[in-house]
Amino acid sequence: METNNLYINPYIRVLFAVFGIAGTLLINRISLLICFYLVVILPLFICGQQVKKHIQLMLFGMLPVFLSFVLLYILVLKGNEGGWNFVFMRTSKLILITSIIQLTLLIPAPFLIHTFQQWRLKEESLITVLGSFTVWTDIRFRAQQILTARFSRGFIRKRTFTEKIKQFPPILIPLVIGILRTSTERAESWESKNILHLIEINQTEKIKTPLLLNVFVCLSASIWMITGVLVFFIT
Amino acid sequence: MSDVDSASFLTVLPGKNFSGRSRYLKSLVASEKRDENLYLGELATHYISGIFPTVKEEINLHLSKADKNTTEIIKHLFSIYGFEKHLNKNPFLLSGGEQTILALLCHLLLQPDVLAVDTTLEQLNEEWRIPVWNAIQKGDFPQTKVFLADNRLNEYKSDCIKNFSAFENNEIFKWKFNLPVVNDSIEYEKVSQDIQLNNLSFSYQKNEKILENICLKLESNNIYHLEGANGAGKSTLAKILCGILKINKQQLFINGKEFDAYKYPGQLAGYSFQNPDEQLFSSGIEKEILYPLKKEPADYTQRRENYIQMFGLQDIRNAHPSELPFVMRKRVALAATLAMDRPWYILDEPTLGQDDNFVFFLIGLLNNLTKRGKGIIIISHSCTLTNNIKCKKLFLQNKKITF
Repeated sequence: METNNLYINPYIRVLFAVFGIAGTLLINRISLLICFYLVVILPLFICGQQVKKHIQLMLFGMLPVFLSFVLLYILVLKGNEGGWNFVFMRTSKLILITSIIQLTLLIPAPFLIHTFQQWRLKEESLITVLGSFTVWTDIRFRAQQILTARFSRGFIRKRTFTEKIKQFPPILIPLVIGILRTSTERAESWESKNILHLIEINQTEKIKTPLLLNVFVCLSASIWMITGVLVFFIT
Repeated sequence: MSDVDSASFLTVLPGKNFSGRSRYLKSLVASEKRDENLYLGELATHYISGIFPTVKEEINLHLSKADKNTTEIIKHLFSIYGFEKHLNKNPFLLSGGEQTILALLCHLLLQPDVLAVDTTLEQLNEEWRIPVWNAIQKGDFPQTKVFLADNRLNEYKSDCIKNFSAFENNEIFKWKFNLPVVNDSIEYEKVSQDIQLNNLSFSYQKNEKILENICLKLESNNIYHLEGANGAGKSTLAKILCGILKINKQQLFINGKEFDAYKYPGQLAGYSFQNPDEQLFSSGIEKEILYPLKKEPADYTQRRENYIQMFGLQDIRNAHPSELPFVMRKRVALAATLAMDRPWYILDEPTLGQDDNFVFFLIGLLNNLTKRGKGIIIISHSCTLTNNIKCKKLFLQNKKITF
């Protein structure tokens, strides 16, 4: 039986997502939302060594949303009273919900199959979901190789930002063709190997749950949910 | 069929490109009952399941069907290839040779009646080929008959080779490819550009040097054969020379003058990739060869035509590269690289999937290029190529280059 300090039980993951999102939707106090983010969400990202991915999501996903809200407030609501509160509240809730979903789905590679199987995914659905999680490494690696090939053939003469942007369309062609070719051959290979049957008979290793981490995740989500219900009914 | 039926566990199918071997192998495995006959194509990466995030999961999936004896043998083979350190890696991040071994051993674990391997093993060097080859040949997988199409037969010392040329004269493909003799008569400006590496060190991460204090002089008019184990840093060195990776100042000199390859990517050396699919992106072969030449000041029309003729691409000049078989895609990628007028060329496994005819054609072409002052670095496991070409050996091991 394998033990890993980063393993969160699949059921606790679901509980965390449901309670976390529900609590966030019920609570309308910015101070509480920030507190939950700093005390629970951020330490979990640090503990799971996923801070970089989280910062990327915040920068490229949440920051544009926040700026859209600000623009909406300035241009449409024209700075009416209560508008800033609305902007910060919506943004904080969005950040929290996105972070909770990210935490739930950021499953370390060695636990992916086990987690999905615990979530009752089977046969085609298991292959589809697994594939959608693992295919990105392949695509990223291929895209990098194609870009390297273009550099090496002298197509990109300057290393400016605009030159790099210009490379997106030409990269897409071999990338899409490569993916289609691989997909066809891989599908034929799956068919001949009878991969569905292999997955069905495959026994995944049991993983020992690190107690402290899982209790913390479970408790924090439950307390958050209860706080949400109390705040909702009191106010 | 009777030509190749044999009691041997391993049957090797020689033959020229386009003789129909791939079709034959596919017909061997065509069966209504799935997982009894399996096919492993040219690029092993297509035959890794692609849904499992780690090598360990990929192997475990295939273990579920194997008997105890086969499991033990395969586990032993994996340990020979040092897979213990790769178990938690993503299979896509393994090198070409490692992916080949992973795909092959996983297919053997399924214990098919027939396993057709279509030039896949050409990516392996001799050291890597021997353990799995011996295991198959001596019958460690008694329930499986392996049929192997391979162009490097002269490198194998096997008594179970069966000649196979039944499809030699059949019109299986739309085009006939007959490579003409090398007649690259165009005059290029003869410019010698010797490369000097001065204490070259490189690391992707701090304190993890891939190359360390390499001092090396590469003279143009020469062909170099760069050898080294998987992960030794061959590709890294190639990328540095192509200007893809940045190095410190005072480490790369051309004819004694410092040269910033990173500032001028692709100008010092043209690089032909092992997998042609990463290199080809135009909608036609003619365009593929034409595209980079457009950016050059000199008249490129004759050079393009010359390479189309030399590589036997005239009948398919407007075909989309993705319509072609692997062998031809590889040739197109090579033609496109060599058609560029660069002082140096770096060719990664240029003869992958190619028969001896093409190998000797390429040897002639590369010799011609060196006469014109070009320098060539070959990264290859093909003894046919490296034994028949006058080249200087470079061994990359322990982060250093030895001669």
